[in-house]
Amino acid sequence: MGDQPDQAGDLLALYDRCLPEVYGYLFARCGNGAVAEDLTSETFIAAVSGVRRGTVPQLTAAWLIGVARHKLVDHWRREAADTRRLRAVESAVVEYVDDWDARLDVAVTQQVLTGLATHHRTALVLRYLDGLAVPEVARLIGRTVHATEALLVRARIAFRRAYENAVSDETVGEGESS
Amino acid sequence: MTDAFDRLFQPVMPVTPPARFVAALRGRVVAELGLIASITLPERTTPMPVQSTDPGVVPYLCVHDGVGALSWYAEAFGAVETSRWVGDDGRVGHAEFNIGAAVFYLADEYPEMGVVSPRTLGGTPVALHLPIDDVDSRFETAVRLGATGLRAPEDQSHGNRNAVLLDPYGHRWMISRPLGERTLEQLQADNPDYEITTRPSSSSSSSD
Repeated sequence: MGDQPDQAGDLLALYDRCLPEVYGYLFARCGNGAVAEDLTSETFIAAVSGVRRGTVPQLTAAWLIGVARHKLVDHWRREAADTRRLRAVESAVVEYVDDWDARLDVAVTQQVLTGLATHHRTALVLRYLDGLAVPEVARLIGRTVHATEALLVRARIAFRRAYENAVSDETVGEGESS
Repeated sequence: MTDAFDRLFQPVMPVTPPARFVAALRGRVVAELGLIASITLPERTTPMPVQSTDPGVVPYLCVHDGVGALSWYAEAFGAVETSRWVGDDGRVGHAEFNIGAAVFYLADEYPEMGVVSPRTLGGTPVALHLPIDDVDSRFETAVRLGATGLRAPEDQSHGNRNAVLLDPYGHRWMISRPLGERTLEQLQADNPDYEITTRPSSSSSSSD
């Protein structure tokens, strides 16, 4: 409480220093400038409320990215609700795709992620692009670890299928096992 | 064991958002933090021009479209622009112009510094009183160019012919011409609803 004015100044300094990181994190994951701007605003306004309530343990870039990640998940949750594609339970684990050793093209990856169902995209971004452990992913999307693992399996299958389609559409001659 | 998915890891790569977004969100953060009073403003990237003479108080107008306003004031009021500083984000950081003997400064909005225009504020509490010879034609020109006439030219009991208008940038102007010398007795007789007192103004030329 007593150091709130300091934190206010610190947050503004953090804004001046770390805005490109927050925006860059969001932009790379949602691939849309307008959405990235909205989520960046939400992130900093949430940071302001945190500072005003005195609930921010440490004002760092990493903490801000964590807030941004929550905003991204919230955004995708709303999107999933809108498109009614979010299923409450992921049942029936199908074929498990292992050892897929393709060298993934960044641009194709982004395009494929954008085309995936929102709950698949959310799971893959958190687990692989952000490199979070499964329990952390589970906490962020509000599912059990078991359900999250099942979701990830299905998301990987969906991703691989879409990726291979995209690559063959572009007739890229690069082999998978190069 | 590595597989293709492990290579999807993407470290955070900074990307600078558009300048207008950076400025607007910064203004919002400053405002929501309630920092206006205690904030240390970032240093100006452009030095303030040195004023060689002392024009007294200079109205420093903030407008939502600096470039547009400068040409509007030139056309409507015959403003003569003497200086313009345009930032690399396209905003007019500072401009100076004269209307007759009066000096004005002008800038675009800098919400991150608490500098906002009448449009953002939803009004203005200050009227700019401009002595001008041709009240009627100026008023007509200004309204034709988009100003809102608040009061048409009229001889007033306080001894001036004046008119009031709101320019397209939200600033309120009273353009005015004295109708001739009036004694205090004449003024008082013409304005029975007011009790008028006057005293000699202490000008800057007085030595004490």
